[in-house]
Amino acid sequence: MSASTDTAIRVMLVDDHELFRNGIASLLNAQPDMTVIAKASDGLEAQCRAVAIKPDLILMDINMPGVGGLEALSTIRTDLPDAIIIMLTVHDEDEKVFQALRAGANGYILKNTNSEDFLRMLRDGLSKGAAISTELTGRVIAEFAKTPEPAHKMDNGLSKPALTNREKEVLVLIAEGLADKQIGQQLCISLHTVKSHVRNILSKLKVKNRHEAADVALHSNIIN
Amino acid sequence: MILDEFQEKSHVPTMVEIDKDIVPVIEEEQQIQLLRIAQESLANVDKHAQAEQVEVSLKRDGKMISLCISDDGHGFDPAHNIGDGAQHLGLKIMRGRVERVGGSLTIQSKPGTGTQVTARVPYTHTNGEFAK
Repeated sequence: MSASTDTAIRVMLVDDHELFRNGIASLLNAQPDMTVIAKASDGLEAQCRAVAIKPDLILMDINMPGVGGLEALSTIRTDLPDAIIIMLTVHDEDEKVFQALRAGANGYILKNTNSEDFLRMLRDGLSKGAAISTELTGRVIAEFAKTPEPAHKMDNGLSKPALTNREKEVLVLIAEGLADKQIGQQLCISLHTVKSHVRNILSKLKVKNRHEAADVALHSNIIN
Repeated sequence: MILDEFQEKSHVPTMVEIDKDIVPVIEEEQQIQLLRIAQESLANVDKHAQAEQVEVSLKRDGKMISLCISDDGHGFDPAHNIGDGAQHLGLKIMRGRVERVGGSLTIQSKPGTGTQVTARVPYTHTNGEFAK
């Protein structure tokens, strides 16, 4: 039974293997709620077609000659921020899974999945915004657990590692153009302490010198 | 192989002229993109052209490698979108492919006079006689 074109999920398939593309297309077109509206054989074609036809769901392999899936994923995610993009691949290496998720994939499904689970995961991906093969879920959770807790946002909402109150005071004075010695005199702290604060500030803001730190401070509205 | 598939599917006689000497020295990414361009062009011939003859050539053209697919079908006006724009998108993709590998795409066609698609990519091999 083919889907009504008005309400069906519009799917684009991206895979360099024609036989696989056609097989998945047959499976999806047989669903009452899905219709395959485009197929692409590599990432370059996927990028062009995605922008032109704006599919609801993109299923994309990773390893393709020419422009691969991860490269295309980054471009399509930028062009179509709301598209649901699910990687469909044989590759179960951690590196590829994490890279894809960090690049904005909504899901990662392994090709050895059975049809029933595959369709359930697609529908989950569309309704809940995420779909991951269960054998990968544990690894993704473990990777997430390794990530340090996000630093508190600065007062102005700029998301960077938190500066202490004293560091913020020093940064303000840096932005005003004071040298370390003058900062020490103003805050009644030793030159050695000022230099230590400056080092920490540069490290936390990931900048190379006080001029760049001042730029960050100014653009973050720490200073009026 | 794609030429065999095309002939089998479309039953259009295809004349092929491939300079075998240059094939091994075309960069891998160029090979991939030229192959895709050939596939897309032949698919267009099959779908739209109603051609009686197709010619495919791959040869060195000075400092460039030139892939040319031409047919004697009913042609089209490259300046206009075709139907729902699918063919226009196909041409855009072909252009993207050839530009990705530093080349250019030329399409010559007029309604009633057939179509010629030429993809030219720079020849980069710098070894021995092919550098001349």
